Amino acid sequence: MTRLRAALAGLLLPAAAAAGVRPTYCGCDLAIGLPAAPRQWDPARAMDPVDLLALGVHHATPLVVAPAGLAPGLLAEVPEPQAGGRAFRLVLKPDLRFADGTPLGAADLAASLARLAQPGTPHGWIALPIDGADAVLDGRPGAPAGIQVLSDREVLVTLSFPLPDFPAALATIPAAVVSARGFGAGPFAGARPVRADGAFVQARANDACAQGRPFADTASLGAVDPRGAARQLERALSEDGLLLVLRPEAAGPGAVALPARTATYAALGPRLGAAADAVRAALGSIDRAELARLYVRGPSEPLATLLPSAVLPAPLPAQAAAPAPAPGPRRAAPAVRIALLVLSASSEQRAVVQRLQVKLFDRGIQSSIETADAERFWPRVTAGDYDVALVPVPLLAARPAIAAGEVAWALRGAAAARRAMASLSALPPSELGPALQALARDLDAIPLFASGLRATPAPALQGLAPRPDGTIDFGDLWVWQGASR
Amino acid sequence: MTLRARLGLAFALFAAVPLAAALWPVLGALSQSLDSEQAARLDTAVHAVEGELRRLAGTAGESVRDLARSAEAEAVSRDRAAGALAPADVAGRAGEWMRARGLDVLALAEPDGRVLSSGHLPGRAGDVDADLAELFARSPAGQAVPRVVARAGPSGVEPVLALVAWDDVRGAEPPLRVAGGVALGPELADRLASLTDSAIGLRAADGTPLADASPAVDPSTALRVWRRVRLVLGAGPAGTATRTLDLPPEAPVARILVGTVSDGLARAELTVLLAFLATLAGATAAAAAAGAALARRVTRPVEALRAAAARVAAGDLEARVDAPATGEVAELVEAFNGMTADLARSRARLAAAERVAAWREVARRLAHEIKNPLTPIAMSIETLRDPAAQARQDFPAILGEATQAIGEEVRRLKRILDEFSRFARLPAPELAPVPPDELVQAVLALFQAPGVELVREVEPRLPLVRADRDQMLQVLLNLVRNAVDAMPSGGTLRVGARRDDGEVAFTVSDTGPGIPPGDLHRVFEPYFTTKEGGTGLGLAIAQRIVEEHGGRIEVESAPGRGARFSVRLPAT
Repeated sequence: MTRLRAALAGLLLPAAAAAGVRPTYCGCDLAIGLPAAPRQWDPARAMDPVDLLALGVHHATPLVVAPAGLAPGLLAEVPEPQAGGRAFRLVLKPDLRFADGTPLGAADLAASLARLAQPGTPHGWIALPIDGADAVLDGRPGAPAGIQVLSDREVLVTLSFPLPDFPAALATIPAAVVSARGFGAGPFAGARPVRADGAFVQARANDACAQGRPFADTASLGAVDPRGAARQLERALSEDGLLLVLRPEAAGPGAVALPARTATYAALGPRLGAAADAVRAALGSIDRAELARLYVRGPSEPLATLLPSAVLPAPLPAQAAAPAPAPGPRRAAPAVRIALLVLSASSEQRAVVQRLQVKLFDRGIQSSIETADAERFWPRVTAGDYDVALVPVPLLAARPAIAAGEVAWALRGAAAARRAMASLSALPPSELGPALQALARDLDAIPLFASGLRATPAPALQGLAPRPDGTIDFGDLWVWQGASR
Repeated sequence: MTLRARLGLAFALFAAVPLAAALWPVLGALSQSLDSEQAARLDTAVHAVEGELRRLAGTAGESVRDLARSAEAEAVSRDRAAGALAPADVAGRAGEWMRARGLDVLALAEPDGRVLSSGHLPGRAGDVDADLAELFARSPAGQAVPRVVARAGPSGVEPVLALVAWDDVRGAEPPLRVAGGVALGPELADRLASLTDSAIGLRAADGTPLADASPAVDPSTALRVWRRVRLVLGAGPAGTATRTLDLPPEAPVARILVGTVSDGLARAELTVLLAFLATLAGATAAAAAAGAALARRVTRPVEALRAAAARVAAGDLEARVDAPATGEVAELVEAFNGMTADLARSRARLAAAERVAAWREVARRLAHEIKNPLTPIAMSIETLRDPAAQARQDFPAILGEATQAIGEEVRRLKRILDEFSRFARLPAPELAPVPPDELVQAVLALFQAPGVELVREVEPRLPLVRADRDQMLQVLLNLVRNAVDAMPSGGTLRVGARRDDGEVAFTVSDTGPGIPPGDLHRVFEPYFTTKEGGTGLGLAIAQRIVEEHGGRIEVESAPGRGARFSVRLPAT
């Protein structure tokens, strides 16, 4: 019987999504299982892909990425470029409110954009093109001069260089509009711990959500391991439970692969000195397809260039693969010794760095592994305090110029990000491949692979329609009417 | 080296050499005994190590066999065959199983060595591991063998020695194998060292150290020093014995060095050695002291003779040897004392004879010098007698001439007596710093002679000399006067001063006829003169003054080429 329900859900899911109809309120708890408990609830500061995904529960963005391209979110329409791609007029939908009931206006939109220009923000790439953002990012107090509030619902954004793709940055979760008290305008609100260890938190439905109140009363988010996810799905199947598992591996039947949008790069640091050429050659010869297949659990894609295919308008011409060295352990003492810096929280990154360690060893380079938590990892990457760093960059923007700026920002900082955006802006697709190769050389980083998650819903859960940028509108989920509740 | 020292050394060697010669057999016998004890201990330790290795090999083989037959391994094999297991999902399994079963090495691989999952080197998954392939090809399933495998460690990929076994996963299709084992690393070395109370060293086949451990003992400083001394002497550390175990014996990939260490045995050996060395030192010191005392008794009169002979050589003829002696040495002492007494008496007689001869010479010279004026005086008186008796008119004129002649001779007598008196009572010089150029200038200012060309030759910036200015002026004036006297027809007189090897040399030279070679060595003798009316005391006085200034006076001359006198005074 449950198998039949699942099959029916599979048929209904695309139909519901196509209809664009908001599900009716049914009253229940939506459980969302993640690889790790969310730790960062501020969209402007979140860097972990899981955190960024989970933030969609609370927050709404000015624009969203629909299958046909950018679509309005909180904005009434997708802004058209003005002044040769240097200005955009953002108009909010009428009568918007935050989850705490306070009105959401143009000032809130301007403040949310302005705070992305504050020094130390991990998503400064969004505000970077805005006129005056340079000075603010360098420490000047105040907001960038390029953000002007025209009325209660209108904001004029002026850029310092032409960037027609700038609206794509407004469809990313860090660009979500946040109230001064930290409330968002997403389908759910609040984060109350529901377990003593804090591994699960619960959010209540947002009655003021622009898309309408979600079907569930609450949404609970927390960490589940693969076995736990399988058990909970089994239980949800028998009990018509509402569970959505977001993990790299498929937790059960009906799993949907989200686009691989977290790109991992091996960045070479300035400390390498004379060893840089040998290390660059060794890392460049790694079989990225094999790396992605053997060491990445979730949906993955080897990176032939700086950006994954999900961000590119069209597939790039295939590159000739470098010959792989003969495998097998070496007996001679390696001549070069380096350290590989990796984020300690990600098992995927740790597995990959162990592969890099072996491949470097096969090429005569001895490497130790340094793990660092996010609080230490990102400052070290920003300061160039590493030999080789394995840097995962969640690519949130759906346009190559913005996404490349995001990569450059994460690897080398503001100046590199500005160069990347300016060089790729309005570039024809035929010139994109060479430009991305040149940019990878400029950033001195080896693109390795992109990875993503899989979404496995319980059979009773309907409406799961991941967007092209890998995000999920949790407010779209609804309950199959045949369920017992 | 003195005779006494040689005798003392000889006595010390006489005592030390036999004792030292006895040391080596004693130590040899002791070492042999200790070595036997050590060998027995080493056998026990080696057996314990071999037993532990067998136990570990059995444990590793059993663990791998159990894992290969476990439900979880079969599930992986089944899911993999069904395509339900992604490679990335398999990659982490070996690590989980390895940690759960307490193994240090574990890999899940295909028969050709392609690694699906590795616990000890996770990044190897996907590669064909040549070592693993060789293990599958050469070793039977279920039997743990020593292998050097690459393992991920804190510093990177490092070789580690391990006992590794493999087995087929039951029912796997396609075939799947599990290879795992335990590392023979620092932890095992520590355990073996603790178990056997021995030093354990793990080495790769090429000798590369893999791990070292020693039992927790802290030998005293003396023992550590003694072991180091033995190592330096090539005798091996005291109380230690070492044996090497090849792993495996037929084709070693690694070696285990087992070394037993016994502080008790080493301490016994060191105690015996120290006691022996103390005895040796005491006996040698006693022998050396006895030899020195005996030598002192024998060499005392000889030492006294040597000292007395040195005093005699220095002119002390009162030196006598007063040391007790016997036999030939006593006769030698008596002969020496007699000889010095004879020498003293001879010197006294010689001095008396010299004094008499000197007085005679003085009397002769005085008589000679006084007699010469007396004759004209007598003749003048005789000359006056007749004119006076005859009441000659020219008597007053004659009287005047006679009294003038007598007066001149009397003045000459007085001058002679003054010279003798000055020679006899020359005052001691009053030394003070005097500039040499000023002395030369003063001499030349006091002297003028028509027909004689004066040449002044003084070097600039000469050091001062310590001299009695008046006496040195007298010396130089005397030399200048002699030079002028030697050039009655005129010539060139050169007076100069120059620096010469820490001294200042004053020179006075003339262009007169020179001094005959036969007279050259006598010019400074008192009363020697070739001048009419000279007393022969001028140069003698000059020599005495110069010598009392600590200097010396020299003369060079050749017939027809003039004479050159040099006065050398020490510079300040």
